[in-house]
Amino acid sequence: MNDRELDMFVKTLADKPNIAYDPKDWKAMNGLLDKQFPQQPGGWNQKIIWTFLGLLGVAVGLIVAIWVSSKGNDQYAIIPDTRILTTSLAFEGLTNYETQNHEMPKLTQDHALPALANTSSIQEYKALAIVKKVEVYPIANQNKPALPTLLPDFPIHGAIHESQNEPPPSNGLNVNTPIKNPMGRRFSVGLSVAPEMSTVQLSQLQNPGRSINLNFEYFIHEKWSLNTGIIHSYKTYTGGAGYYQDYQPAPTGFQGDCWVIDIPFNIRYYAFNNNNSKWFISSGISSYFMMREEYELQYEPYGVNSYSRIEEYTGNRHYFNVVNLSMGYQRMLGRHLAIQAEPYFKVPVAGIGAEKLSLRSAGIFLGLNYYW
Amino acid sequence: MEDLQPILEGASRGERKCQESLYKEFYAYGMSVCLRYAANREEAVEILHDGFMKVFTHLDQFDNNRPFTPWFRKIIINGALNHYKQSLKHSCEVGLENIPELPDLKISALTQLEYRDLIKIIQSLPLAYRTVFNLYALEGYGHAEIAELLNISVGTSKSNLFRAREKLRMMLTPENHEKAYL
Repeated sequence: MNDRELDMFVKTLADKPNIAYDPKDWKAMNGLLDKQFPQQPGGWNQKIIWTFLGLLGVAVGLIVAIWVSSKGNDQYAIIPDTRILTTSLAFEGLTNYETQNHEMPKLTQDHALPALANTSSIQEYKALAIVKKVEVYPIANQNKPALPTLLPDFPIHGAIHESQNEPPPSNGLNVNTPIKNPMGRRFSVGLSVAPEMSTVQLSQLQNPGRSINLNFEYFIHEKWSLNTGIIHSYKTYTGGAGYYQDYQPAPTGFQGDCWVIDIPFNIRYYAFNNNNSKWFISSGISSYFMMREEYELQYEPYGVNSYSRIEEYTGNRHYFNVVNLSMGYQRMLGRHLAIQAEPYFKVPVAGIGAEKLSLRSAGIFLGLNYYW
Repeated sequence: MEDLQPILEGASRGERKCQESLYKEFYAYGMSVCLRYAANREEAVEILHDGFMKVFTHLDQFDNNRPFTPWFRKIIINGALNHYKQSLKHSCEVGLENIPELPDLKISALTQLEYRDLIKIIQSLPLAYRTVFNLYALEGYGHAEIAELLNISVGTSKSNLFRAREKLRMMLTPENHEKAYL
């Protein structure tokens, strides 16, 4: 072999490289880039994390602001709402209505205050001065037509009266402690999003995925509710050696990505309630409908011959195979709207996906609930 | 090249996803160059990453009207030559433990020689021989250019090339395989 033949032989062979991409090398490169460009905007993972932290900050700020603003005037305020009456005005109005049987004027705060001032009884005036939110039960006499303006068309509840020695008013008004169920609503619908960590090995935690949750809730009791809905999740996870034993040779690791429709059935218990906020715990079971699974199987680098290959699957279904656990906090933003944060954990009771992996997920749902 | 354009633009803006795409796209090509200049895979990855770092840092200087591959190759080779100059200081410290294992050519006939075997043979050449052989036989540089690039004389360049070929022939011939270590 002369010089030219040798050079050509080497060149020809060198021009046909058989080099597989090794994800570990990109991780090393990524680390170098992080050091070199620390101020550079990050990739999607970092954007998700920062978006999540931003939303969390906004949510916390909002909750604190509402809590602080409501703290001062919540206790002894007369609410400017036609559906809420002071006790004496309700007596007066109802008495007039019952005796004269004519339509009553719509009561507003402007009307209410002079009426209070004209109250003849000093004791009653004092009582009214510390009246809390008063909610009125429907008139007992069902033969009378409903009050068009004073009595609203939603379930009306009891009232709080600070003058404890006074007996509860009669004439059809029941004064009880408030029902803790949020505003007496029976249904809610909620939309929330979550950054989600998924893993098959706790030591292999990596980048977060995400979940979008549309939730329906039905109250079966003031403290208990049934929940279902639809959750679309993107889960990303890695695993080391020990999986995919059916493959020969067995890969030394894998990177998994899957897109899942999750149908949960949960029961929720509202453990701590007050007028504006609630704490709850929730548990139930989920069915997973795997829309797509992608697995990049990695093989041990051997010289220059490290390599990986992609496996894709669709259509795997797992009925009632995942246990849901969560707890959460809700803060009412109005009569119908609440903001909610709900950390959750999902653990399968059977293998998930094409490779029957123990795919566990955890995250925190942040979103809004609408009650009616 | 049209598909590469948005990746290059994104990488130039520092978007990590585009940088990753570019890295994946040119990983095998870059490694094929680096492996020939390096003594082992770890060194090759080091050279490759230095090259990609230069690419990501100076991508705004790249002329989009020209093909990317030659520009990338030039950067990688320059990185390899810098590595060569740094390694010269330590070349006398190379011990037997750092000499890569040669392929068993009794099993693998010359006609069936695989790419990885060839790389191992090239990597087993001494640093100076390997670098000159790469530049002359595979990159197409002349001895005058090589002498300038490596700060050596033309005569040294020719001598190194001669010795590199001699060792390669020995290693590519099974009966002379063991002599290649000497």
